[in-house]
Amino acid sequence: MDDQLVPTTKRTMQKMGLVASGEMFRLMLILRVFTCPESCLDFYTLFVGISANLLRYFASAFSGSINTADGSALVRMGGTTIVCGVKAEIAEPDLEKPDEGFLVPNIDLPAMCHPRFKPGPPSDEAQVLSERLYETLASSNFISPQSLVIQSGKAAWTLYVDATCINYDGNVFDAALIAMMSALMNAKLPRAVYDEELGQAMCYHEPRSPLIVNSLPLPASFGIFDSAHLLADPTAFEEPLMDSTVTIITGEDSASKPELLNVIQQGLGVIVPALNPVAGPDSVVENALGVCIRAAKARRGELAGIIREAVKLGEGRKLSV
Amino acid sequence: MALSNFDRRRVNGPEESFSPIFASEKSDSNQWKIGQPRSKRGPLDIRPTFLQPGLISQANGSAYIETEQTKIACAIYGPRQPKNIAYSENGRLNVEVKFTPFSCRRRRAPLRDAEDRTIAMAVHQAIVSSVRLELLPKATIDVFITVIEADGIEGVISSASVAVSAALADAGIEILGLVVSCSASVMAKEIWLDPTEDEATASQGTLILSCIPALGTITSVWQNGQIPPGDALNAMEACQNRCTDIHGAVAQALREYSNS
Repeated sequence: MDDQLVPTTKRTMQKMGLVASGEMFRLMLILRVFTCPESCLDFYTLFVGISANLLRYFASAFSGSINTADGSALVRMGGTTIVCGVKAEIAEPDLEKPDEGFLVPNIDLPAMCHPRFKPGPPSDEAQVLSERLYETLASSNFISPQSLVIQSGKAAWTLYVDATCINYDGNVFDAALIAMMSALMNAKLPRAVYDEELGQAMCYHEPRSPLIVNSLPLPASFGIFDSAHLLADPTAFEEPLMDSTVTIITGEDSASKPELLNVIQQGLGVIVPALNPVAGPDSVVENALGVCIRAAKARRGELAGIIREAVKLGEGRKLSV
Repeated sequence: MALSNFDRRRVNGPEESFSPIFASEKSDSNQWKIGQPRSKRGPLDIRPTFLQPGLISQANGSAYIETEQTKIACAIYGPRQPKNIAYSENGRLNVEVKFTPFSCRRRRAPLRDAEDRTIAMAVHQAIVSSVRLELLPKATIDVFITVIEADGIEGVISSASVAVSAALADAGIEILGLVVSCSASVMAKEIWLDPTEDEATASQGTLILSCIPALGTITSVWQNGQIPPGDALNAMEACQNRCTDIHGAVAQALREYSNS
């Protein structure tokens, strides 16, 4: 082998300016706010009646690393990794709704994220997920469409919120929704003024202002296995084994108390306590949906904290550049 | 027009939308003029590279590469059985490139351009001669590349080639050597390595060279624009010298990953 080809040490390479630290992924790894306590490493023990503890493994979020997007976020929950970017464009409002802008969320599950996806148009799963994300975003009023109007009937912002799955390891809906929320909170739009003479909206680079956001919709998903076990945040290995999956989306009411926004249960969700070897036949077990809703409300605070911290970190980073 | 844009498989926005029109140019966007030196780095410097193999747990091999504003993830699936493809004595290497809609300055609406195929072909050319496909009859190796953020096509092709090669090594597929790639642009009398999008636009021509430094062979050269033959040779030499350094960095990243 040529002498030159022997790898130099990392330090010399850094001195040569060859090796970077990879801002996006390094920060993602550092920011383990949502750490998993040791007791739940074996999350198969999260049975009904004992604990519906949601801290399966860490979730982390990081926003504002993609310069070509108006807002961006990267979310990782265990293996599942989602990148989301917001692109703002200007369009004429709908004739029937002259005072409303547009919010267009889409998720892409490319062939790279899991062997079962093939290249080509969006798979059925991606279509269903996009539709659910759209409904959640529209019904939660997180960004009110009225706040996106530049000039009534003439010009309004269109926010394209595109999420791409880099690694599919289960519970993609939760990760995608969190990524979309973080990216929207990270987004900054230029000042836009409608010019009557030109008949178009003109923008100014400064000042850029963040979007006006309302109560954050946050998800929590569970799976029911073998009619006995409730698993939080199922992985790609577990998902096909579940009898049913439950997704709870919570928002906040005016007194900032958690409130239910949306509940989706797919499949027959019956929990028979007697089948649970740990809880035993004598244990008092609530209905599964009740447990899920309580756990989702309990998780909400932590999740909101992670997102806020990620958004704050993203802002600090942008200022320093 | 309106109907052709409608895609029932995605959530659709308004029929037409335009990226914002700015009243003034951004103050910090500096336009390069002939004779000016390169700002921020030397002419033969490349952008610092971050390479992390093994990021995608579902794939057989994967790598993530970041060179400042270029961010690319790459996954390898295979060797696996192809579907509906006739028998072939040699394995096949498929390369698919996908741009995320937010990866460029203008939004890239899905299904509206063919640039990804050009890039896929360039990456395929760079990589294919390093893979020992004769050992994998009847099999395919699928290479999927997702461009998260792009800063110049040249940078995307060279970074993607490096990432694919590292991912192939991570997947344990037999290769003759690591392929590394470097791009150059000709700016008046100077040669600037690893141009950004702005620099490539301002240049007379660009060149991407991929090689296997361990064997001292070149796998692909891709030149665009007007470059005098002498400058082209100089640019290739500069690229090849820099490739040796990149090769060291890639080998180091792979070694660190396999040790951890």
